[in-house]
Amino acid sequence: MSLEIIKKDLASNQIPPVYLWYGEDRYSIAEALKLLKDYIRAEDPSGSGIEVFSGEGLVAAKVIEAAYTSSFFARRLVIVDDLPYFKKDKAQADGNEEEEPEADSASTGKENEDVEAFLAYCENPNPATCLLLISEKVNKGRKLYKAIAKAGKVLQFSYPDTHSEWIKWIQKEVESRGKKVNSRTASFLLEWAGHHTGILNRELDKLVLYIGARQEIRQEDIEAVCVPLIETTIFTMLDAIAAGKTGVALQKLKEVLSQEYHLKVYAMIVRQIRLLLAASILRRRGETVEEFMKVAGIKKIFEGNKIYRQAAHFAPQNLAEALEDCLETEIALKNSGGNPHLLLEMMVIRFCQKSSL
Amino acid sequence: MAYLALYREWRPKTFREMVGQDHVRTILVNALRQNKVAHAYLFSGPRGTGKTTTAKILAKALNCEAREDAEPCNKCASCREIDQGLALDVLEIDAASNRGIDEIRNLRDRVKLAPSGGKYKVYIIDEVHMLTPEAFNALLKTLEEPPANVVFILATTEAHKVPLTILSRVQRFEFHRISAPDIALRLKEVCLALGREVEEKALQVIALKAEGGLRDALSVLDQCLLQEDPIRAEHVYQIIGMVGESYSADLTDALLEEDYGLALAKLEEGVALGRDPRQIIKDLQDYLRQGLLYTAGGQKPLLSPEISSRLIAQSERAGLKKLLSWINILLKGENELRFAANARLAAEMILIQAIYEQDKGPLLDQAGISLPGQTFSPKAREGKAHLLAERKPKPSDVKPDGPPAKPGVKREEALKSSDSDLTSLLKAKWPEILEGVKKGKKSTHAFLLEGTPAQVAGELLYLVFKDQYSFHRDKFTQPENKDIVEKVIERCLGKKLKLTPLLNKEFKELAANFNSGDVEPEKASAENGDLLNTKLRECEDSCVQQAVELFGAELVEVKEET
Repeated sequence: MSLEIIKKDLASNQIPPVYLWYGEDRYSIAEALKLLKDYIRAEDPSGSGIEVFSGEGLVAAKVIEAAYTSSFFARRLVIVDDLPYFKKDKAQADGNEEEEPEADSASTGKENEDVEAFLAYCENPNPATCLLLISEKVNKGRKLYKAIAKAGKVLQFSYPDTHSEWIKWIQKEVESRGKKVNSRTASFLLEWAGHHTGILNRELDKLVLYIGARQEIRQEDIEAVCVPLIETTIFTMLDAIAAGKTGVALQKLKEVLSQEYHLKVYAMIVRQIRLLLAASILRRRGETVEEFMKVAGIKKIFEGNKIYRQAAHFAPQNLAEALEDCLETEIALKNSGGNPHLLLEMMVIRFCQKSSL
Repeated sequence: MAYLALYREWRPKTFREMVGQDHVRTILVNALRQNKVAHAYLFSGPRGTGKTTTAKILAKALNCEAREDAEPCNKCASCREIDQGLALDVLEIDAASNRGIDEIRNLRDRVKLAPSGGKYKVYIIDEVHMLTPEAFNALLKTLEEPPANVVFILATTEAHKVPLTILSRVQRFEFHRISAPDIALRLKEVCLALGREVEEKALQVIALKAEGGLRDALSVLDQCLLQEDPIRAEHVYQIIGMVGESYSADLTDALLEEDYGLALAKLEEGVALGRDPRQIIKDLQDYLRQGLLYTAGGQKPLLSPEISSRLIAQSERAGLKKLLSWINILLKGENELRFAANARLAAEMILIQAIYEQDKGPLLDQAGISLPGQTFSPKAREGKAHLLAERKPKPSDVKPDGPPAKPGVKREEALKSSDSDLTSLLKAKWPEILEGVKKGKKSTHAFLLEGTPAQVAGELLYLVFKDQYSFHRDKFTQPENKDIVEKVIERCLGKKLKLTPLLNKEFKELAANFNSGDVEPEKASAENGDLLNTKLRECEDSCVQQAVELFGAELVEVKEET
């Protein structure tokens, strides 16, 4: 984990002159940034050594000037948030004149100069400054990337990839708070609150306070305290429909409708049924989960797995009929054919009748 | 002193006094005890469930000079100032009227200043979902690096409008609706303290109608208390405007009794009292909806106890099917009422239709009449689809996944008299027919593509599908698909044929039952099935079939090692 590497760097007082942080986990980047800033502030509480530049309309010369300026009291930290240079593809950004669209040529020309300036800085960085570049994406083939990697450190902040990595991540976070959680419960939390490090961190804070002196987090704690994802509620609703439990399904529908616009809820139900239909047909043909995910355009493996597993409980016929019913409801919804909540309730009741036949 | 509304006078002042929301209380109390108060909270939930109240208690607890465990003392200067809204360190901001970036920037600049007297500066931002996206971004920066000794409490009824970036920076608490017994208990407490006499039943009605919001309940009670003691449920009905419910219950009785006269008389009575026919139909629809929710999902109706038990008895008598069909008719009717020149006539028509269709099937289909807008309005189609969906499967319907219905004798006889000329003509014209169907309905065309016209015998056309295409076959048992194809065939061939969809194996079975040279089952099989399917069909063993369903089929040759 990149956060650990940064902690180690700070502990051993070995901050590289250039950092490049990238990845989709903005939350962890923000956490790391906080650590780094705290470290600098510990040396110089005034915070005068910290300078922040925003990626939009960035002028490289100013950044580099700031980086070369020596600080009075302590190390300097120059931060460029949302570095723009990795946004364009390689051919354009590396100055390949032939493929460059003319309209962009002026700005690209300026950008090339700016990149050159950063390259030059990487050749000879100021050892008393930490230049931190934050970017959402990087292109490892680019000269700039290679130069930064050579002069300093590149760290990736990405979400855990697989289900088991997520579980491990949760367990580690819980341990760092002095509590325990088994993998089953962690997995439940993941489905309940969603795959988002920031949200999960906040939920864990709450859980730890909620259980008080008790050591282990249990499933009922999560149900009592954590805010369920709307998808979780929709899943519970769809599960209830599949099992013919009209009462639960209607209650969950009400919960969902209190949070979301009815057409959005409708669209979510339809999407779910469509995915289930695709999964159940592919299942019957004996295709794999991977094939299903390719067909349905699902990126996350756990989502694919879950739908594929759920699809086993449905017959394609029932799902297709359910979709037709959805169409009728949609027509009614969009033609002011009555109270939308009532129309959705009737749709759900009819599904439940179907599944209990 | 000016009169203070009940819900303000009785606003809880300590965590202990809070009604419901145990999960929130536990966490906040523990956080205060362990000194682990987060720097930002988001309180979300329906109105009147205690968000602002909790925020104020938390603010007091944080700044209280003589805190008892986690509870604020409510006596010290700080507590009193906060209660009176005079505290300099507790700022209540209404985001609905301060939603721009300038206001948030202003806030950001002032956040840095240390608290003037208290220990913490507390910002309570109400209705936070009203902030503009830019203002949210500005707030995010502050939330990411808040100064020490500042606590933000954001409150909203619509948490889904708060961006994810904010959500991942705050501890979010979802406030639940307060249960009706809890509300009734609190109301009773208030009445006792005020020395007023209010019937238990009246309190229950208020609690039910408040739908989980204690503030609403207290407001209604406040209004009720203007009456002389003792206060009865009837007073509450008048104040909430629940007279319509017993009226709707009477109308439902008329529907149940299938009494046209009674229904019309009731309507007449309502109109004479000055009620709008549209509102009458709408109220009836709401009333029946409660019955539907009770019958289908066991949800307790949100009505006064007597009417509730009446509704329960009525819906048990009517059953789900009738309720659904009534509501369908009312929904359709509501739409028509909107444009009807004579609303009363339209309302009468709706009631009559509801009674008429109960046992005699759809009025429109039988009598061949149509109300304005119904023939082409999608609502009408929906209504019919509902009736179809509710219809119990007839024996002739093919079950979705069960074994196919045994071909009847009639079919076999028909097959004997097969007509080879017509068959070849039909096969020749098939592409044309497909094209015709495509123009009619695209989805039917898509299903039809998988079928082959195998044989014409008498009036019957056997449409054969591959064995794994039972789903497609079943589509052609439905009239909406069947009718289209039959019409197109009639147009192309000039002869009316009845569509009989079959699976390949069913067709083979049928052909084997009589030995006519005309049928070419082998050919059909060669056309439709491949080697794998033929092999599969040979597997009689149900275990193997099940295994195939679960894991898929693959033809493997096992060679013994020599």
